[in-house]
Amino acid sequence: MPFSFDYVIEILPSLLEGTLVTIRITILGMLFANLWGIVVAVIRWIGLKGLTSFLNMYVTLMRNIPFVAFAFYGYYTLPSIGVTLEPFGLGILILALYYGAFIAEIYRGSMKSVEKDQLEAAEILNLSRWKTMRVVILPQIFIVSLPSLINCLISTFKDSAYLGWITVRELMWHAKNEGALSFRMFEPFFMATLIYFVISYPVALLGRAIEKRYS
Amino acid sequence: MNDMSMETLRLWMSYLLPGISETLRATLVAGCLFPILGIFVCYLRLSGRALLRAAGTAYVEFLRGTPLVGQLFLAYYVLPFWGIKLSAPIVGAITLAFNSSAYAAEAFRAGIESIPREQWEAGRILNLSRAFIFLRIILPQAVPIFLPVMGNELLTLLRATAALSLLGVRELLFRARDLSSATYQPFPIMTIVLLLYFLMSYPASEFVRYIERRVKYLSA
Amino acid sequence: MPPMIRVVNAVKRFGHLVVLDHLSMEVARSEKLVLIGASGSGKSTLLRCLIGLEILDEGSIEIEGEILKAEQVGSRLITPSPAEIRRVCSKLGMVFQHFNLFPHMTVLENVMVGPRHGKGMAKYKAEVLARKYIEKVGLLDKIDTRPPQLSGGQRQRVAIARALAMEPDIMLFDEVTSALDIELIGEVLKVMRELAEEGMTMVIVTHEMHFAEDVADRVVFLDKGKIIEEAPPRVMFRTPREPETQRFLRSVLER
Repeated sequence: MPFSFDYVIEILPSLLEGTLVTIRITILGMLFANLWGIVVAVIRWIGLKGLTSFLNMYVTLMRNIPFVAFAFYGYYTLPSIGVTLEPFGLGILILALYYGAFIAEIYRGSMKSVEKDQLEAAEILNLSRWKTMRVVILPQIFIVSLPSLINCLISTFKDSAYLGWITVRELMWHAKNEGALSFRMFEPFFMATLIYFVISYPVALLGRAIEKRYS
Repeated sequence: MNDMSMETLRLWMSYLLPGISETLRATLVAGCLFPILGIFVCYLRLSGRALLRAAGTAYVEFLRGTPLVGQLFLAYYVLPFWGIKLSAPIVGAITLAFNSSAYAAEAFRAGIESIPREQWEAGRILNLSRAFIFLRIILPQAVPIFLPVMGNELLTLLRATAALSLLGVRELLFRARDLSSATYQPFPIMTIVLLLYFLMSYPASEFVRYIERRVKYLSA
Repeated sequence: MPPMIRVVNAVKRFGHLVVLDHLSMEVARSEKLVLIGASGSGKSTLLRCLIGLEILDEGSIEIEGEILKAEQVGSRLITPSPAEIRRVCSKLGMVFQHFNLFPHMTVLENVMVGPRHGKGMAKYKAEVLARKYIEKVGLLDKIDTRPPQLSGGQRQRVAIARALAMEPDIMLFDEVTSALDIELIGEVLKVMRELAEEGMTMVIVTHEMHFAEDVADRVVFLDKGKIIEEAPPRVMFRTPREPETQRFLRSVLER
């Protein structure tokens, strides 16, 4: 294994700088993806005629193309239609558009399952006050979706690595950069991958713990 | 876009289509490998020996908790040091196989563990060997459960081959980027490529859903 | 003549819970023993220990003279090997509350699998044997169907046939009618009655008190892992001695 500890110490600051960017872009990306995803989910749920079928196609499309392909698509084509964003913003946009579709699907599933339960409970309790239903149903949707949302967060975190190839200066970009400068490729990628693991694993454990608590 | 003739389109496609065959080749190789690796790792995870279980768990957690792109570059740059000289497409396919095998192992495990332990007990009482119970009683009941998951994982793998372009493998996305920069027409080319990925992925995913429904009907 | 079953000082713990508390009992050849008690009293655990699905922490189980026990050697507890357990417990058959049939196999295959693959019998011999017992429980017409297509009573009868096909000397029944709709219970009890009349040694855990009164030679009442009282059925049900027994019988008969 071509490993030099001194070299690792040398590149660590650069990698950590990238890590911060990765974390920020993941969180912001997830945030906007959620906002967008809720909008899409609600529109599909209500069923506004033309918009719904368009959004259905959008969701199906996102779920069937690779993220890296979509990222390059955005990077190459958005400037040509006048959308000029600096890399960080572009990265957030791409993450939000791509994962927003997945989140919309997550919410769709939760809405379906919560409604079924609530309809049964409502029948038994003879609840016909829609306001109460709204207060009971909506927060439940979030709780039911939580494990899937956390999985989504982890996927977003991992996929953010591809953004390094569209000039976003996140963790992978720094790894690539250091490797290119020093011609020592192994240590940067090893440390970068390790950092991804060190951050994602606790989150995954948290997600599983939450899933267990609420099953 | 109207000055784009059929001739240009055919020219582009003649450059892109070999990329599809490269994509499918990687999918095929990795697609055959990953279930086998997955069964092996699942066996580790379900073993009675703590050391084997820990190894299996480490394998699954690491491969699922790190980006595929990171694994690809790690494999590509570490293998030469171990004296293994492999080309990028092969390293890529093998890494894809390892990556997907982690998800496969989990799918197998979930399938097997979903079979009630009373099935094992009924088998033991009839003096059936552990191997027989596993192969002829548990597995046939678990297959309908994990088959759709494996199908979906294969499709995920097909889409993941796009990452190989970053290693220089001349598959579809690589050729798309290449062509885009050569012709200065990224918009139509990238749109076509997204469409191509969609056409490879969507019908197959509907097929998997169909299988899932048929199989649910069987175990009712 | 040694008893068919002899349990001496059995102790079984699950964590801090003592499920079998220094329990001793014997079952003679052709005897029909009925175990009653509240859930958690240890009845199912006792059956599971008899057939080798669980191993006692202390005490011993003797099946037709062959003893199974955990030996304390120094600081280590050496338990019998799976092969040893299989050997001793092969003389017992068991039927469960939730049938535990193999859903992907037909009735014939379910009943055949034990003799063929568990005992190494030749295929045609195993099939003849299986057909004999399937006929005995009255399900020849369903021989090529799969469990999901059978009613609960039919499934349980298949489970009995599957256990009988191993030609055991002792049959254990763990609340085999508790999961059945009322109208399906009778067909299962009929098969059990016939078995009893043919002289099979049976240990039955049940809530069907009328059936118990008809079939049992002896009724044993368990509470918290101990035998509180045992008596012939008429005595047990009409004039129970212990207060716990009376309390239990009252709560059951109120149903």
